[in-house]
Amino acid sequence: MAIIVDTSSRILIQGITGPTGRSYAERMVRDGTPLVGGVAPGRQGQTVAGVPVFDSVEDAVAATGADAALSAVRSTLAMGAALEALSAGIRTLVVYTENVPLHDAIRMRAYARARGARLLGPNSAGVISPGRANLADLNDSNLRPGRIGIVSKSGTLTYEVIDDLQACGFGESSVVCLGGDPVIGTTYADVLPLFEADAETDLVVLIGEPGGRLEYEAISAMRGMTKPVVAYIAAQNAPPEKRMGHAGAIYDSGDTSAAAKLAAFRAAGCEAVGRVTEVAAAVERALRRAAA
Amino acid sequence: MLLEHEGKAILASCGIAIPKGGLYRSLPDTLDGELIVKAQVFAGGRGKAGGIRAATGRAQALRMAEEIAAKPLAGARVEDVYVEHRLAIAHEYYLAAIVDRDLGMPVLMASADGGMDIEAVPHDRLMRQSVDPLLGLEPFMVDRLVRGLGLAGDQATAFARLVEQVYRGLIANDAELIEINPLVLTKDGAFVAADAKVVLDEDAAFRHPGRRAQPEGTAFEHAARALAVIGVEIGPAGGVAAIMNGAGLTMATLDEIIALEGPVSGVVELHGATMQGGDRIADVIACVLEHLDPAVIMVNIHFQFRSLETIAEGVLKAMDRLPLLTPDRLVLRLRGEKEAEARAMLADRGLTVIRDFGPACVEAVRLTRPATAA
Repeated sequence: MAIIVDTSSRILIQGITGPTGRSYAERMVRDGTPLVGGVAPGRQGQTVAGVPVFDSVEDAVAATGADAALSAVRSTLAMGAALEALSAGIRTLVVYTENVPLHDAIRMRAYARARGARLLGPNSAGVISPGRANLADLNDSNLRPGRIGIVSKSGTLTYEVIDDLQACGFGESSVVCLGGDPVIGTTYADVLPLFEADAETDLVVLIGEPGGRLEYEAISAMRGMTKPVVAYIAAQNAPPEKRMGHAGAIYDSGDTSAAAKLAAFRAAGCEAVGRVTEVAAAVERALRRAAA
Repeated sequence: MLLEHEGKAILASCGIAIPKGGLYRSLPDTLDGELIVKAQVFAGGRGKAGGIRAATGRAQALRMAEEIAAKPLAGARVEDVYVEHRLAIAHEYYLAAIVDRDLGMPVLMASADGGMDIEAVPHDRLMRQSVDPLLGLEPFMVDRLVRGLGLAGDQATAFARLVEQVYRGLIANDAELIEINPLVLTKDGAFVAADAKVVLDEDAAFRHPGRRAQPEGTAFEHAARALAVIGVEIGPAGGVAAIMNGAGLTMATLDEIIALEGPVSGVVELHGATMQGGDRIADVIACVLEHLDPAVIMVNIHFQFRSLETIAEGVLKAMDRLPLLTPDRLVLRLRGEKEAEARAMLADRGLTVIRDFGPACVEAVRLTRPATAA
């Protein structure tokens, strides 16, 4: 089963003729991901990695039946590309682009919600169901299919967790990267029920960080779940007054520090850790507890 | 974040009234009488620290300004000193437009209890109104705020106009926050912004050509910003300075080194700088070495998409350029795309190249310790 993307997905790349889009296309084709086309205004009729290029998402959807897209356009063009994709009926959109203006993220998020579509990002590493479909910057050949679900804001932390899990013999059903920006289209609380309903997922690793309340919403969403959730909250030592790269908004209500979030997950009965090197052991403990 | 005087210039451009004033080195000739002298700092609490003083006449104001400019204010560098007319206060309100990251939309906030730290205002005394970006600001939203403050007549009309100006200012300037606290109702019945806190979204700078704000941060953090990477200075020289791709890995590396009880001088998140090529990576390493003077530079990169060859090229260029960058000051953690190729490029240079995150952090911390203790 897996979640969000699968072998039945029909994927487009927006910005497919740029260096990033082209690399994505070549890798997707190599890995057997269901890529059906790409979009680059003025380039209709060309092909990249053997798939057709269209001038607009609407034309691409009409010709290919695409329902998912990965946008790798420049940050100045990201909002327009996202609105175009959603308007054309794309149901799952990954905005990989970094440095998207905050108010542009707000508009694309609002429009995606109004359309009932799933927006991952901006600044999302994407979503992958290993061996089935790869709408992410993760390399499918480094992953192995398995029964752990991962939901994370951070792409790079996800890489580390996947490698450590793999060293312990675990693979993933799906990996969902929400994006590191302060305003993002999809939340932990949106994704947890999907993993709960997925027959191929046994346990979810949630990777969180300071700033915002999405991790607390996740704890509320967890209460309806039967599957264990292991939380890893990064940046236990981040200087509170400084931004660590994810452009977290300055205003937060309540305690949104990494330490407070870690304590909240523990209080909710989760295995929760503050070091990336502790995640795999926490997963093993949670699985033993679930089996007991 | 902008300094008060920069924020006030934004408010004025939105049509919001501000007291007449200027920076102390270029004070307008006409500015005299009852004045207020204000330290321009990137920190809160400047009033309590003596950074806001009342003066009568420009001579006294300028004397005070020189005093304030001369030394740090509660540890914060005084960037400048701003002098403005003192307002005759009838009442102090609070008005702000912010982006609520969790709601994913702008929120207007207003209170009749302005002038104090907004966190200290009781919940039921602070009105909040979210604005759906697909609707924009609708009259019903404004009416709710104005009614909630108990305003009527001309004051209600004037406040409603301010709410619109602040909201439109947030959007037009690509701001994350526009906060007016206090928003003063003067004795002659006008609303005037006595303070301004404005945070602009740097990612939207392309829509605002010519926009330049005085940046906060240390000399290292400024230099990193000039290279389009994010640098954070953490501790003194002689520790680990770590360079990572991705905010998440940056945070995790800091956590791990501190958990290993290692000293951290600073961290850098490359923020896509790899796309600028090996020379940019070398520039970043040079910047770290010059400003932080760490015992060890750890380059901790895990790529699943971009090529590690760019990182290897950058490290080699940095070693060629920087005689101080000896192999024993470098720990390279390289994993992912083109890993073998990158390792081959770095062979025979006496470098420590480690594949796994944990052991690389252990090695970096070990190298900060005196050899006798090893």
